[in-house]
Amino acid sequence: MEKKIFIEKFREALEIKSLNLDENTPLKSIDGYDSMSVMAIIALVDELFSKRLTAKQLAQVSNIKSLMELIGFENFS
Amino acid sequence: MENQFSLQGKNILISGASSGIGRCVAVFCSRAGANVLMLGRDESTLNETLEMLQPAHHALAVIDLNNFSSYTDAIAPFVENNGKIYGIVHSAGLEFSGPYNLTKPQNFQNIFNINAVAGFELARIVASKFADTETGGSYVFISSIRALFGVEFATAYSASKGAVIAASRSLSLELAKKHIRVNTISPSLVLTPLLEKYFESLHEDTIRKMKEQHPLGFGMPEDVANACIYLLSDASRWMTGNNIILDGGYSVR
Repeated sequence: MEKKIFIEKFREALEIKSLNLDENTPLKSIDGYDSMSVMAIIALVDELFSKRLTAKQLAQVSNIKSLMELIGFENFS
Repeated sequence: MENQFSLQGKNILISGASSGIGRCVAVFCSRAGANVLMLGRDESTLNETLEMLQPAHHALAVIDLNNFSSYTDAIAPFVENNGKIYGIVHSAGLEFSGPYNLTKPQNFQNIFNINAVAGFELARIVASKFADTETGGSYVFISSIRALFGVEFATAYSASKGAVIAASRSLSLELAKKHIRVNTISPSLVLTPLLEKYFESLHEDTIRKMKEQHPLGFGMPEDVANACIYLLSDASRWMTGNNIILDGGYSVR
């Protein structure tokens, strides 16, 4: 999957309105980011990559780039 | 005094008996004297359950519950060997957690197929082909507290479990003519492999808060299995179209 498409799907899933979202945006700086956002990310990754992440794994994720690393960079172009 | 909770010699069909609540229901039914037919996809885990049962005329049938046309052939050999089916416990279930904006028609269809449609198709086939209309029967569908109390990220799951309760009420009226009772159980959080998988998506603080919402703590599969034995047995002979809430006090507040 193209990185920019993943970022758009990430934006849609978390209903992020800010225009400034890229792979280096700190997740905790996103307005409204909370435990529900974590569940939304888990559901998104499960849907797109059939990979079930845990809340513990996501606690180590700081931005979309590290999320992509957790999913596996080989899944992105 | 006769044991009103006995299932001695009764034939009970259980879906989802390979783990969790369904497995425990199978074990308890066998302890109550029933012959159990277990339906499921995973032969090895069904065999594990089979080894836990009190010896009797049990059987298992490996099927994908999405394949509705396979049900009759899966049930028929058991009926040939043991006689008509008295009871059903539809415990097979899918869980889907996701925000509404990721919950698509296919998610609804997948979860409805297993949680709701499969159970009612089993009931239709058993009631029309494999039920003893003289002795009657008792069908139990596992719903969920989510059918009655909302929670985020459970739109499809809640809808499927709500359908189980609503459809059971109508079905109970039609099947009363055949002396078949239909009831549902709505458990809150029960410690099963399905729940443990769900907990992996939650922060520890969230799990702690969920536990605090249950004055008696989370449930165990045995809690649901005991209710199933009651509903399957003659002890509940005057009960149909009803729903038992088992939630450790979650809904009291």
